[in-house]
Amino acid sequence: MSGITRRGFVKGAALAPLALTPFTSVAQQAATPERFDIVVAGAGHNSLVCAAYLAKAGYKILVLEGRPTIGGGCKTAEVCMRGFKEDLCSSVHAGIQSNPLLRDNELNLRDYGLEYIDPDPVMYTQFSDGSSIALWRDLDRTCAEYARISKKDAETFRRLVAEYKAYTEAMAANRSAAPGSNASGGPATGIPRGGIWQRRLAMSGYDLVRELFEDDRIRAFHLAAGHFSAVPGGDPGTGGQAFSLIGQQISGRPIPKGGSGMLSVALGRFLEAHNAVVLTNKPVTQFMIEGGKCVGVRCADGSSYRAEKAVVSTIHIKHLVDMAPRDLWGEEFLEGVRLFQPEHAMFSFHYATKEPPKYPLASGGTISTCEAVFMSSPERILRLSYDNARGEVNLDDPPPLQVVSATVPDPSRAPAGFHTLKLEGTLPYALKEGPKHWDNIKDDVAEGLLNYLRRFAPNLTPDKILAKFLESPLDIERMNPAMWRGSAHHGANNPAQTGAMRPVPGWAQYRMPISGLYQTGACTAPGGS
Amino acid sequence: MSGITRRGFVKGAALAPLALTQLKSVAQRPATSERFDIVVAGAGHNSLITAAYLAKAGFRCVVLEGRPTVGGDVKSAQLTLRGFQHDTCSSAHNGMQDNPLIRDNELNLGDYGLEYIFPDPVFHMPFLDGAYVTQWRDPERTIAEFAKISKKDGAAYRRMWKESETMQPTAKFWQRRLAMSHWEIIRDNFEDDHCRAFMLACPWLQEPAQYPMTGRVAYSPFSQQRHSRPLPKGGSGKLTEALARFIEAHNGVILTNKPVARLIIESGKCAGVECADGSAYRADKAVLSTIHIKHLVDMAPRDLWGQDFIDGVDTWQAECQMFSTNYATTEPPIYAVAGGTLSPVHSQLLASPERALRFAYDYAIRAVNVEDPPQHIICCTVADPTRAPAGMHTIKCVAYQPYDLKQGPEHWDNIKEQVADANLRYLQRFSPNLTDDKILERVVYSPLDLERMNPHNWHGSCHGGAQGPSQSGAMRPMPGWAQYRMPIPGLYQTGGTTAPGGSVTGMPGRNAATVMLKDFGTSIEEVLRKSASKAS
Repeated sequence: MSGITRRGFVKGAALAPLALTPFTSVAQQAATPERFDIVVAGAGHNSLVCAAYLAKAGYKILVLEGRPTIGGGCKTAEVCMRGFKEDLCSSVHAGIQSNPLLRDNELNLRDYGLEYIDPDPVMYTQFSDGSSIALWRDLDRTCAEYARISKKDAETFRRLVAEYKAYTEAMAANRSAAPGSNASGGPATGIPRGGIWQRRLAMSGYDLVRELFEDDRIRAFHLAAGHFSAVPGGDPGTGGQAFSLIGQQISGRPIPKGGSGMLSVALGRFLEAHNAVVLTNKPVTQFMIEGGKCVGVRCADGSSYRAEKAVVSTIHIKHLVDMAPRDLWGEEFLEGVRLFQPEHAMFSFHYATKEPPKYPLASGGTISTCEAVFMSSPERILRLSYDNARGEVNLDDPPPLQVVSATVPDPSRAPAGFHTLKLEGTLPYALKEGPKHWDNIKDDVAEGLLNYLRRFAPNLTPDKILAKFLESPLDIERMNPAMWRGSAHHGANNPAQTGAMRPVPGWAQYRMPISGLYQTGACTAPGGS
Repeated sequence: MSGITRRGFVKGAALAPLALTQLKSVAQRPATSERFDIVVAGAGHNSLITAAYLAKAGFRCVVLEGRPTVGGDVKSAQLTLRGFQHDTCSSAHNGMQDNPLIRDNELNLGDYGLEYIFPDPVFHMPFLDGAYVTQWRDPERTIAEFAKISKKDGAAYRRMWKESETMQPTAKFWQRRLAMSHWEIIRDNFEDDHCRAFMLACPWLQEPAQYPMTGRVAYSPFSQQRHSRPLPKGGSGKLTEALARFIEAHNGVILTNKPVARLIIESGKCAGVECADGSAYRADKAVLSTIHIKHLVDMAPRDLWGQDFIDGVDTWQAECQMFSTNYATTEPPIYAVAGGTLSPVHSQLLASPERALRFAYDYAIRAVNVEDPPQHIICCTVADPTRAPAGMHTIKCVAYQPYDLKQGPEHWDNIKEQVADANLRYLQRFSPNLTDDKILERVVYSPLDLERMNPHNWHGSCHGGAQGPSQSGAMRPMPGWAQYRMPIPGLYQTGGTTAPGGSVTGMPGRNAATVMLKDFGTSIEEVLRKSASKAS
């Protein structure tokens, strides 16, 4: 059995401030003589999911996490004040709902403490003219909100929800058929309006919202909600972003009760219950290679762990290639890694508050929602690449701002009557003055964005803010080295780095060039999130 | 035989200011009695190429052009003063050099008056800090120019020049590069901003450089390195003139001032066309259109096109438009270089790499941005004195501005002269000799004027529309109809809205001929083989 007790582990994963390292003793004690089939380097949600299936298959697993707590981008901790559980990176678990892991409840994670809350309203936005839109789980109610701004766009939204359902169901039923393609190059058989879907998805989100909707506020709402992927909506191939809210209308935006980290915690519990060992404060620094094969790993503290069957890595590929002799990777792989580009970097500002944002409604009263997003105009999305290339923080007209108040639907995350608040979005990692300059400006940038939010939620006066914890794009990378250059999704998820080209053309099948080494996490298809 | 004499035709094509329509007499002659196998709607270089191959195959073609002269965007005319031959849109024919039509001389267009000039230097970029980058026909000389600024960038140019010779889209080495952005590739290979600016601006602006899937454009300077930027002697329009002569010499008829207004449909099949003047022309075999798809769908009942095709036309996007000014001058641009001056045919102004990344945003906010306006300066008379009176010059300044303005496209008529002035003032900072007294006359084409000049330049799109992933390859013009066959039987499409898209490559034209000849039970190879054996 593992040398780590569940109570100790859960306490660590769920409650420990990042600063603390509750497992140090455990980690030391566990430079174990134990034998393992699989050694997992890094404990993000993907490598934990991978390990969980392998453990269920009966393999003896060791998971090594460099940080004091597991979870990677799926982590919750009390970083502002004791009792305030903040999601350090991800909050919403929309994508994973269609993963058989949850859809078919393959690992019964509920038995390990995973429970989802389905917030309603799902999303909210507001504009300087006072107009607002809430996206409700009930389609009619959402359409009524759209209709207040544009009757035509409300009808379009309703039509597109039906069209999108038909398309996604047909695609799911007929995975072999790429949209818009059949033997004769004509629109795909069995895919309703397959041709137009092929065109739509290849277009930019910006061009497509302009085709689909007439009102600039509705266009901006769809683009801002589509930007959570950090791919600028002006890029070709981002047409799906125009459907961001359509997907949210259909599936909602579920959050784990107790925090995003509860998914990782449940996976950690599952692993322990299946004879696995999870060790923290164990950053992997090197692969053990024998006869050209990867047979284990070495950690920063000098300890080493052998794997009899395989090593699974979720280390960012930019660091991965430094952990074994270069020649073992092969020139094509190294070239692919050299070309791998970062995404628009994420910032994440956390607050412990006495109140959630209270957005005043034109109809009178206020509304507080789990999530909200703000962007002044559709065109703002096209400014992101320009500012990013110039390394400029442009707050005159702030970039799309995502606001998460998870305590609104989940009061268990804070002391009674208190709230957590997260402001996130993308800003350049590589500032003109260099990334280090973030340490000089992050407080001012955070204050600027908080003041921007106050235009929409005037109740958030300074006296309502009890404490803050600010992660600049540079801090994001410091907190999690796999978030290379602040890439919360490990790198741009654009045509050059997606599907068969993620992480590198020829190595998209999770097998790395070194035999015995497998790769998972956001560097692999279908990418981060 | 055609009802139009060659002399009359050439006069029309080569010399007529756009305004004049001296072919009217010819055009009015009702040709309806004659029978034709193929009716061609529109006379751009692509449809003329298709018609030329079909005529060579023995099919009787009538070409109907809505304007007074043939050529579309491959046309030259005296836009300013008598004796000054300006290119109305395109000037350099790089892409054409890889087309078998020219590469293998399939139609002997040399016999019909087409002759190419290969300028050297190929391309020049001056900067306000006195630095400059010049591309010469000799690659070693070009590399030396880069190395003079940065040894690393000289090596980068040499490396990418070698790489470009092995471009193979399916190879692992290229898969990611071609899917990356033009900007990422240039930023990561070159360290100096002058060299980066050259590598960003020397290719014609089509898609914004920071967009994914533009990686190929990062290598287009090497296509220039290989081919130079060739100019037809006498003007860009000499290509379309030669094609028209070829068609006439092969029993074809070319009529101008014949805008096609409607497709004639009989039992669901396209059987001919009807022109604005009411005349009708029937096609026994097929109708070939180079009408922009946004207009094409209005020329037959909507239901005949099918929903998927209509969807594709509805979602079709315009490109980043051009703003063009043509000058008649007494001097070419003269740029200071080490130990003297340089007057190249092609030069480009781009203040910084970042300036090129600004376009997408400015186009979207419909803003006219004349801050350091990037411009492509073309002075053909430097290499081809026949285009102007002795010692005189033509200069074309091509800048980039949105067709759609906050006040609507019509607003261009109010501001275009000021915008042209701003562009000229900027050029004068690089070429101080071009004082106002050296300028005899000018004609300004705003994006709106470019559309007026040629309705195929929809919303000012001289390449037919954006050439991003959603409008390329199998999706141009629309998924399912990228094979030059339109949803209506008997109707074929070529021109900039078909693959591989706009620009003077002639590939849409030759591809359409390939498809049509196949449908007619023969092949382009067989047609060329026959004529070869006849010749010998």
